[in-house]
Amino acid sequence: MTKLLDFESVDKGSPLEGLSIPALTRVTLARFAGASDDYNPMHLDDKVAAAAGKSSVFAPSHLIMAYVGRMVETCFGGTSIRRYGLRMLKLVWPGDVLTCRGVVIDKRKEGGECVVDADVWADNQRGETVAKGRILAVIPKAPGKPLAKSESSTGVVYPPPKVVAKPKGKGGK
Amino acid sequence: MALPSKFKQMIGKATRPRSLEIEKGQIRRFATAISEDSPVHHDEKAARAAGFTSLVATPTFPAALIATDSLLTEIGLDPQTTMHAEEEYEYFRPVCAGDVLTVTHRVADVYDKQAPNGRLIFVVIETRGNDKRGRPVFKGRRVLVELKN
Repeated sequence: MTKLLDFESVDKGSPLEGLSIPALTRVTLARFAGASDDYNPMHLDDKVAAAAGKSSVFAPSHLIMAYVGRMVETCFGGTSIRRYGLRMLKLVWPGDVLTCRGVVIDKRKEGGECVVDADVWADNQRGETVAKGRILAVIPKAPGKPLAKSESSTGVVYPPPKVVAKPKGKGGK
Repeated sequence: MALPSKFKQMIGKATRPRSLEIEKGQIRRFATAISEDSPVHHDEKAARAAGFTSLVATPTFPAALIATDSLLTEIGLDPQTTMHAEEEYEYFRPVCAGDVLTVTHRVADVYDKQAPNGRLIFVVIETRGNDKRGRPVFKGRRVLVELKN
């Protein structure tokens, strides 16, 4: 299970728990188009993609960002997420298998808050990084200590991993 | 080479503010589409128990608030020749079902860069999502690349 981050325990170089995404399917692309209300045919219609010189449809960057966002939400549960950004480096095609990863690159006190920066990225099955970005969060001072009210009133605080954990065999949609 | 006037004129251009009511179904659908099964996006009781007013959105849900292709068309870009290079969010508070957000996009900057196979034009769009009282909920910044110019 993912451990709750705290300022005492975390250090530069601490890896975030990665997240594997199953091979991308056209059904996922269609579902995401519906969910994000974005029907750009480059992601849905092979003929349109081919006319633009692509070998097939490819994933919208918002989907990649959402996958890395899933890892961020889990790894930074119980912290106050303030910033999250991603830069796209390579296109992602149907059949590609992504792994989202991250590593803490800095921790510091800023205006009385315990701030961490982490690099986050997604690699494909060929080991190529398809997107890379940064997350900034305010984390608890010490293990077992919750965020102060002033720290959690700005940003987004998803439940810590423990609260999210579901009883075995009852997970799913 | 100077920036084509079509692009120069885009700087400062803004979409009309849209008032959007965040729906539970929207939050669930977005989470389901990315296989995110944390109960705070699906089960209202779980979301309330975690301190949210209702179902809470996943971190990149703001991307779904306005269809990218209609946004591009409104600004004057062709969705089929525009690629997404970068996107960043700044979060002030969570987006929850029942929230009414006013969302506005503005072209903050346009610049060009010489690439090995031609010139690329970058368009920076800033998005603001504010609550009913005008307080910021999120800010977004996306960098688009126009390939055909």
